[in-house]
Amino acid sequence: MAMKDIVAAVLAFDKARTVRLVEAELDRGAAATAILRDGLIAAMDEVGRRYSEGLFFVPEMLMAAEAMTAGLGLLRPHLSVPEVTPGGTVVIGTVKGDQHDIGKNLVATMLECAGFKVINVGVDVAPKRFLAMAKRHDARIIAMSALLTTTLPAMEATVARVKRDGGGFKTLVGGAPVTQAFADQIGADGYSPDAAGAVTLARSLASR
Amino acid sequence: MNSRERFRETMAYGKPDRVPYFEEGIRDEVLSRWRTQGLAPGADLSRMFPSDRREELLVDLEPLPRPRKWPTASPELDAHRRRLDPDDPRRLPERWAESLRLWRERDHMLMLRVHRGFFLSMGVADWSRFGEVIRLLVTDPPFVRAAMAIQADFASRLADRVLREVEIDAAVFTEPIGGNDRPLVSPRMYEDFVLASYEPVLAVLRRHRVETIVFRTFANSRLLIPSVLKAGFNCLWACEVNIDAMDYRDIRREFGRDLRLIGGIDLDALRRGKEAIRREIEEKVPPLLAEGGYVPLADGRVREDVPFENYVYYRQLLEQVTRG
Repeated sequence: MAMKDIVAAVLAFDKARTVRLVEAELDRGAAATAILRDGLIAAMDEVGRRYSEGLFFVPEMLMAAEAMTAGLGLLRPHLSVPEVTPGGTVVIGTVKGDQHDIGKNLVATMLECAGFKVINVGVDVAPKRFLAMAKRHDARIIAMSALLTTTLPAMEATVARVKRDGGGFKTLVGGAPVTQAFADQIGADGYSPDAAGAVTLARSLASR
Repeated sequence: MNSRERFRETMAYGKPDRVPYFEEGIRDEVLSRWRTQGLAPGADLSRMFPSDRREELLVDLEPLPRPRKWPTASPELDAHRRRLDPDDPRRLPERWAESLRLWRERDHMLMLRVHRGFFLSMGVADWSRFGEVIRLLVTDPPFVRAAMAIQADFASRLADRVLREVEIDAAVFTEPIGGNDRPLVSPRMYEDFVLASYEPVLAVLRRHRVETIVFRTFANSRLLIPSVLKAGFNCLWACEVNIDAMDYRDIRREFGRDLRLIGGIDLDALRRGKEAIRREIEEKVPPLLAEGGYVPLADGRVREDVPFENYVYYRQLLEQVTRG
């Protein structure tokens, strides 16, 4: 019941209540991993489902993420790093020549709320920087965004560079001009048209 | 017909002598690259291909002076309102009197940009302010409505000031609100916070009998179209779109003649090559032309990755297809 209340508080974007309920569960002796998994991450999975069904849009997604993050703040001291970020590390950025970051940051937020450690390398990121950061942070996935058709070649170059490197990083692509066909053409491991789908895909890629 | 007449006739679903050919807004860097690809020095694209000049009358819609920090609470709105004075002479383009004289004698299409859209009007220029505004939509709706009402009052009075002096052929609201797969906000939220605030501006446009009111949007704003039509817009100009989601043939089937269309040709086809260009133009343009109310145009600014020979092929094929 308490976990359902946490889920409800996150879905109601109620930061204060989320924090109170998480605190109450910790005081009750519930395992932090269980609160994270069955309360907070479960809530964000429901957010993703509602987004995919067109019930939630960006404001609802971000407000829920804020409530979730507030609750997570209480849990962090009780969790090891792998427990906080069971999904592993994702390096995310907007490709070289592109300054747009809103879509990329939305994906980054959702990935963090889904239990990934996210290294946000910003915008206008060269292929070698994506790779360098992925190696430095022992990432599993390199996620890249483009909003302009002119920067699609940079996305292709980044995927090619990652494949050539042989480091085993999975590539996830997205952005307004990106399509599944383009992602297939350049050999990306995954494409998602939206932030919620990116989480599902990242989980799938991370488990391979 | 001259270009102005051609555009108006097209938007009226009349019988233009041909469709308007607008320029896609080609930057100097692109022209420089094309000069290494066969574009002759000094060549003027508007003379190489039939073209119709389109001029956009840009008034200054931003707060003056620019705020260092945008308001986040209602007590800050009075100061914000004072930055939006429609009578400020800096609002109008330079050499206003001379421009007026030229516009009265013009034979080209003149479009007035009357609004920069929700996010820009709320000061969104980076992720930090974006998050702030999104939060305010949920935590302080009255503030957002009040801020947008201030923008609307300013924009409507400025539009009225301009329209008392010059007759335009279209008004445009620029609305960068599309995400990859849907608008950033729901239609309900868009109607409540944004479209409601546009009504004073739309009322001014109606009073001045501006017949074509353009909703210029980016990426995927498809879900907003019914609301936008209900509010009084009658023309869609979708730019940098996900071409599957915003296919103008589907949009025309769904919304019919209530919605004129500008654009619709996938810019990415120009990058991919002649076969892609041929398919794009031959499949999309004729059915839209048959119904009228359509200006075919690539859905974004042509950039350096479009080879000159592809652009030449695109323009020549477009002319061939549209002249029947």
